[in-house]
Amino acid sequence: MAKILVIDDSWLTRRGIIGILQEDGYELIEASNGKDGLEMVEELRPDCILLDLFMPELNGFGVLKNLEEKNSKTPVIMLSAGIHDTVRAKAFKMGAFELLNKPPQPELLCKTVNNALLA
Amino acid sequence: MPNQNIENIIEGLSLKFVLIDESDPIEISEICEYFRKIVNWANQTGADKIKKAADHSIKILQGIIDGKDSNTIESLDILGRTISAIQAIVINNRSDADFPPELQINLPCEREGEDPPHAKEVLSLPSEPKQKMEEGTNQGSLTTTGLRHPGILPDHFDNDLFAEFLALQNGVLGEMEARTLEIETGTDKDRIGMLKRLFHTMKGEAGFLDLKDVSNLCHKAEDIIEDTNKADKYIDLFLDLIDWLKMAFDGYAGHGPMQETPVDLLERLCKTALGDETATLKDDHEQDKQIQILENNTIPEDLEINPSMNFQGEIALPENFKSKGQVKAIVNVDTDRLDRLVEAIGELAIAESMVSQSQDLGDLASSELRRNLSRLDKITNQLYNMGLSLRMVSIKGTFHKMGRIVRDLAKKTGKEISFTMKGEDTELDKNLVDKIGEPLMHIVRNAVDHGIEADARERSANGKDPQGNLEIRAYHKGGSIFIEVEDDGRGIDREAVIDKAKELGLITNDTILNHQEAINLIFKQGFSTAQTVTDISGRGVGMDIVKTRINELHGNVTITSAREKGSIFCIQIPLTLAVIDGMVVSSDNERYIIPTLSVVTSIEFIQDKITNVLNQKQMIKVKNRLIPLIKLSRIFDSRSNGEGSKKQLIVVVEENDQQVGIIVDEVLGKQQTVIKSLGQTMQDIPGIAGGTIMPDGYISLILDIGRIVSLANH
Repeated sequence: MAKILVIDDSWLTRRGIIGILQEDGYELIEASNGKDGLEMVEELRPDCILLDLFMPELNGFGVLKNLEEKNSKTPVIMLSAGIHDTVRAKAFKMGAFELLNKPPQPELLCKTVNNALLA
Repeated sequence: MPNQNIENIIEGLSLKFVLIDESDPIEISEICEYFRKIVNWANQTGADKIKKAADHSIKILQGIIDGKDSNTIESLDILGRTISAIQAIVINNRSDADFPPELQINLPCEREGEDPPHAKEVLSLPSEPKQKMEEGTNQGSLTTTGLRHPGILPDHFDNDLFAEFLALQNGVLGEMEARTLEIETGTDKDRIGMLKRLFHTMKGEAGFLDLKDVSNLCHKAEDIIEDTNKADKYIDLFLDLIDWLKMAFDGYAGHGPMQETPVDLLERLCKTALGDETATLKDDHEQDKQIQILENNTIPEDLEINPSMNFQGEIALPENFKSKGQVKAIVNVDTDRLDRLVEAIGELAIAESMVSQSQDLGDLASSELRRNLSRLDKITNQLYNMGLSLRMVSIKGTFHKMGRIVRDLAKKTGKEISFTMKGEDTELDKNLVDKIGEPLMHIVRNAVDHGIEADARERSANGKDPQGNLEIRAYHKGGSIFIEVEDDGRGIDREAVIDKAKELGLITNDTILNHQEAINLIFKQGFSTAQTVTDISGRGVGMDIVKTRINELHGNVTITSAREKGSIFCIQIPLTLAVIDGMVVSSDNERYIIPTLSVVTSIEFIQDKITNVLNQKQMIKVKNRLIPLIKLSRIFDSRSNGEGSKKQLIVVVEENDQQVGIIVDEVLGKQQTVIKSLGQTMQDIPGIAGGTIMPDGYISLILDIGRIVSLANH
């Protein structure tokens, strides 16, 4: 069973994402900020990470940078509201697998996660 | 989940139906039973159509049982199709499923109280709020819970989550309001960043819940805030926005009317975001602006934010409750249940002390039993403290509200007032927080309205800042919370108050009052209703209400005021409503509890010092002040067994700056007391505030000092 880590500071967003994904039978774990998220990446080794951009403690880019430094191979799907091209470009440059607008369409989110896991 | 349940019922029904032996009335009545369950479910969820169909089916089945049905095969066919239709609607989410025409309920299928199918790509559609709203009023209404969604709640959320979201938004909005008001005093990056994050989070969450209006408004607000230099100019706009959000959430929660899309508000926000000249709602302009904003902004690389800041609407748990960011389950408990829990813990504590202090234990108790009992005692105490702390919340929210009131009122009256607050993290019982709001608001209003001078020149003439200052602060001292409202306005004109009181007949012409007593006149009932007084004294509107409300909380309010210097209103309330610190006294073999808060001193009863005044009233001189004495047996008409022989004590109590000496036989000690009401029939006995169960299992009465003082004086 694939393990997916949801890092987002909004509990409601986490609930929403988990609500969408749990029907596909993933094991879902969650963190409410970037710092906790990174710790959980270390400890629980998720197969895929869903990452919010704006967060307290350590934001999405901070998490990406950290993962890059650690040479992590875990695919990261970033979520944010109103993504602009510069942000998009930056995220991809930093190794994000995909960027989705928030709130994501459920089907698209499932497909993207699936793709990320296959990659 | 109710849905799980209904699915099982329908599955069971269809299975039973396939195997039916229509000649067996028992089987048919079993099927009837299934339909009844469906009716029940439909009643709860408001799914009218299904209810009608099921009701009709029951009738058909009854007909079969009674042998009245001439064409059983056709009837069974109708039932079969009805069941499939229900199945399609409830389980497969197909709203287009039709009931058999024979049932005559095939109006366009509309399912109330149920999430419609989610195939629509609602999330990516350009928003059409107006239309959405109209749909919402008849489609999204969730009759079971009172929750209303303006459109359709996405599939992956259930109503509980929506409700939880709404429940948390009050706090978020309060925070928003506070941050917005803060901007007024300075637009540094931190403050603006925090406000922006609040809007951002709300936008994201509302987007998830498909609350388009909320999400749109927050989005616009976020855009405006991007431009730091502008933000402080739009405080009124933000406040209006927050007010609208408040109403909208209330509407969604079923506590108020649903709000229409606030077109004007949106337009104002757009105008502001675009700069006033190019005011338009057009999308391309908006997008240009957005891109520009994002470019200017660029998300900070390492946004380090103070971890103590907790503004995402999440309930902050003590550190040891947090398990490394793992799934934190937050349970929302309504306060009623908490109250019952605390009450039960209180009872437990009493029962525990009844056991461990029981005389029967005596020599029987082994050392092991004693050890265990003391352990039990310790745990009970812990539990009790934990129970009380569950209800503790900070007073911040209330203070922020006061900030808003000051701001609005100052604007209205054209006064410039600087508002500061201190100790807003002070915690007190949730029930108290709710109840302290109103009296506090009265005091703050009075301070702004009548305390602070309307004319800045008047202030300057008295050597004060032209700008009025109002401070509100909270702190703990002893077992109480103190909340103070201080203004540097005119202060209270003592002479004017006295004159007015005489005019109103509240005091007689020859009454001599000290400064405090004179000022306290404004708390007198009747004083406040006099319109003209406010003009002279600068105070007086609704102050008797303030006094009453605070006394209801077993608290006290005092005023310190000096002419031209200002006034301090000090509210003192106990930490919690459920427990008071009491002095246990005995009088004529009855035990009573006097709230320690009211006790001034206790002195020995010496017959020689007692003065008998006119109508046989006994008085005693304490610290040069003649105070009336009162016997509890006289008030409560309890049987007295002679007097004078025993050595007696006088407990001097004070309320409202009036003192009374209560004659008691003995002071037995001090104890924390759980207040219990005496029930409806006995709630209005003058002089009694409630009862409590003593450690030995007997009941003693808690005295209502306010009433006793006024009884003694009349």
